[in-house]
Amino acid sequence: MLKTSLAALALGAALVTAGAAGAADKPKFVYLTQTGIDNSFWQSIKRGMDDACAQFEADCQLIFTTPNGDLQKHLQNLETVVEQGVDGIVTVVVNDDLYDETVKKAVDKGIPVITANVDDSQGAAGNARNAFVGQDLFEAGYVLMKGLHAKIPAGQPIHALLGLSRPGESWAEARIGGAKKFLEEAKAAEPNREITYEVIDSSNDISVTASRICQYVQGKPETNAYVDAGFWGAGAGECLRDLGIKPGQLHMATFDLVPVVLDEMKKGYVDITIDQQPYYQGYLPILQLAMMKKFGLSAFDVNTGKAVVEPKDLEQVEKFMSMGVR
Amino acid sequence: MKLNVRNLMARPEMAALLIFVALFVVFSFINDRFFATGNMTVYLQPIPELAIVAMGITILIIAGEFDLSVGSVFGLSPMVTVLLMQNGWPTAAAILAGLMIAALIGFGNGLITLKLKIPSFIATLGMLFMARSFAVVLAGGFPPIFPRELDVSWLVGRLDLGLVTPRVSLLYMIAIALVLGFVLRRMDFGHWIFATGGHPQAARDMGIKTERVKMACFMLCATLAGFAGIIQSFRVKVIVPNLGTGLEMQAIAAAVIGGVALTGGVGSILGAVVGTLLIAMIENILILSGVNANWFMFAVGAMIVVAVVLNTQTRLKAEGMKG
Amino acid sequence: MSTAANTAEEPIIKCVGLQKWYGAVHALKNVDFHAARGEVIGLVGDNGAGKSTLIKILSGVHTQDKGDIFIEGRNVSITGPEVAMGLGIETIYQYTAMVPEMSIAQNFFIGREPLKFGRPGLGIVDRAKMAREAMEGLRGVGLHLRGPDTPVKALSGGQRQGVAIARAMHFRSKVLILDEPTNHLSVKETNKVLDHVVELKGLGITSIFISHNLHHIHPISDRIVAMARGEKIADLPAGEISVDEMTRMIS
Repeated sequence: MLKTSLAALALGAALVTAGAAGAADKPKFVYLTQTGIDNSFWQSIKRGMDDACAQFEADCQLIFTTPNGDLQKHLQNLETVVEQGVDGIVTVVVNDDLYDETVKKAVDKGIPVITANVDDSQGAAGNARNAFVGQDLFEAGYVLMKGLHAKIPAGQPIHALLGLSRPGESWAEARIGGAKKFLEEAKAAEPNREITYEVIDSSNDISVTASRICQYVQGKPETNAYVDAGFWGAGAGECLRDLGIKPGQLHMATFDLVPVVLDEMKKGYVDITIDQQPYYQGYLPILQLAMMKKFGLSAFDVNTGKAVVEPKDLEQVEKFMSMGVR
Repeated sequence: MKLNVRNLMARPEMAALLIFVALFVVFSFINDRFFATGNMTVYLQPIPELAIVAMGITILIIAGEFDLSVGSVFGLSPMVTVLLMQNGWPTAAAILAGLMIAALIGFGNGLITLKLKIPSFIATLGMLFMARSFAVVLAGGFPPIFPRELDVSWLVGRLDLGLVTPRVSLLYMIAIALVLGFVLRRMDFGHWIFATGGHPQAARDMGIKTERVKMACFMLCATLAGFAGIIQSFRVKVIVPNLGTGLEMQAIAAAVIGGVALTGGVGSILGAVVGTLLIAMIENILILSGVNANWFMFAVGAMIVVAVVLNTQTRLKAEGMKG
Repeated sequence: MSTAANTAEEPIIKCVGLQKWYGAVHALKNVDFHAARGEVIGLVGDNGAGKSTLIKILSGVHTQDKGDIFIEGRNVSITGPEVAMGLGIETIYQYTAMVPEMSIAQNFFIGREPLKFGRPGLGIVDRAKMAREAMEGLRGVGLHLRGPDTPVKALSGGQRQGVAIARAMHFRSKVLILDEPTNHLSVKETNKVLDHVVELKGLGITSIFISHNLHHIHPISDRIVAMARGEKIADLPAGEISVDEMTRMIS
């Protein structure tokens, strides 16, 4: 019994390790994120990464983190990869200080590091990474709030609710920070208009976010604008309908193109969303790493996320979404 | 001789130890990057943190109780410590305060469980949320900045051993393991812990104050979790309110792989350490081998089942051997 | 009058007017009870008669609401099992009060470990002494088991009762309460336990023997105490009552 179990274990271990052995001569790139496998948005990034890896004949690995959002575990994975020595690393940077030492170590070892999806809030000054491929998060938050502002008739007071999906993580703080900046500017520009806002921990679990928004709106019915730091706010459509709130009473803005966002946009509850084009965030870093490895080219920053999507764009967007690239 | 083999096989951590050694050897042969200085160094880094939590859980489960709030305490203690340091407290005093908050949470767990007579599974599930909320409230939605110039070498400095360079925290873990192992095996209080979890009625009837024993274990478990959290935040030099989220399940998995019986009265400190080493090793090898971490949870789950099955088998076999 | 003469006259254990309520249930109604040194008392009664309440008070598991307990003439209050044991009252439970996963030696000294260093609760146990004395104690009751490190779960029910009796004797008990010690035991094991009780009598130890099986109790008892509905209904020498009469009395 003992012997058989141990033998089975060893066999399993051998199979696991053998899987990677065949790809020895291909360049090896690793893509790391702090989120768990349950994040559907990452499937588009993976699609982009897989396409690039096939095209440039690279051996790629996408490493999620369990438990979801455990920064220490993400750092641990990154360090393991740096120690292992690969040909290139793509990672998110969701804390300004946490990754500095390891990223520097990788770059010093000659492993190029491209940040994607989320960068240090200080940008290139924040750490030693070679380039960033992703959305200008602060700017995107600003654009969304500006878009909502335009939907509310001039002169009408504004009370905005800002959903900080993960307090303390730089991407969420930056997006909501952008929205706040627009509101402050609007206040200064229209001194006679009543413009107020409040920030809550809205969570990044779609059902939790939905109920928090609806509870807030019940308490403050004057709320007429909502900006989410992610796509989770779109889940509120369901309970808003239950509360008898009509489309247009509460203008909502979210990030990303996911089915629930598009669905609520059709129903009129989401007014605007911004696509950070995750396919690019999967594809372009691998493209850059492959070019660096092959021809010694350098990496470059790409802002993938200015694609504002409104109800009029729905038809075209859905066509591409069915292909798994948007 | 035969008697010794039997006693050895009857030890709760035996199965985990066998699997660990076997896999370690196999991995070293299969992947030349596994048993390499750099990889071993990285592998050992977070071990003390999880192992210290797993030890506390192990002792509490031996005493017949449970703690789901360790992950939250793991986040709360360093939050308190870093905030106090930011307000000018000396490091030692701030750490002490962080540990006392943890002990207080443990006391609360004990009080709710023992005085209100509800299962510790429920009491500490409630505490999981409450303690996490304290951490979020203290952070004020925006976490404090860790004082990066602070000298943390005494706790998490690098320890150059030639072959590997683990953190100093590994020494703390070993010291804690030795002390706790001594308490469990050589001190009367350790006997009382095993008796309390192994057969509460017998322990009470033989004059052991089982409630006091359990209370001490609740407080010990929480304090260890708080200390482990402080080690982690000092190592990564970051404090966020969600530090340690989900850690309770990993710690319980480590304890169970290490041979603790959820029914109480069986378990060992060495088992908790080996369980931790095993989980971290599986994760490490999966990343080195280029397997998507999607399979990580599967591997840990399979490991729990295999370890517990092996455990039962070896112990049954040990009982069947006549000395 | 000399103290020696005094103790000789005093019963080793004497209870006066014991009362106990469990909420609204009056479980023990003004019960007097006494036992002399070396006496074997058979305590009989149906379920809920109050005999188990009486012995729980004596062994420290519960405390009486009213009444006094005297040990060798001294008024005592038994607030916990450890107090009872300190006074020399040991209890053998039907379930043996053993922790199955722990060794014979550990079970022998549970809660009362001999220490090399420190004080109870913070002490280092003397494992050599535990092993030695446990084995001596077991030999004392004629038990020859594998070794002090054998887990108790490997022992039969009768062997466990043997360990429990040896444990009680080791701690120099004056009064031994045996609460249904023969349940679930084979005939052979039961006889062994009954033999132990007779041996204890020879050592001057008082036994209070509780059993449903009147055939077990009758032959070894000096005196029979019968209880019903929380009251003592009979207290007479065993020779003055037959098993059949006992059966009629308590049912």
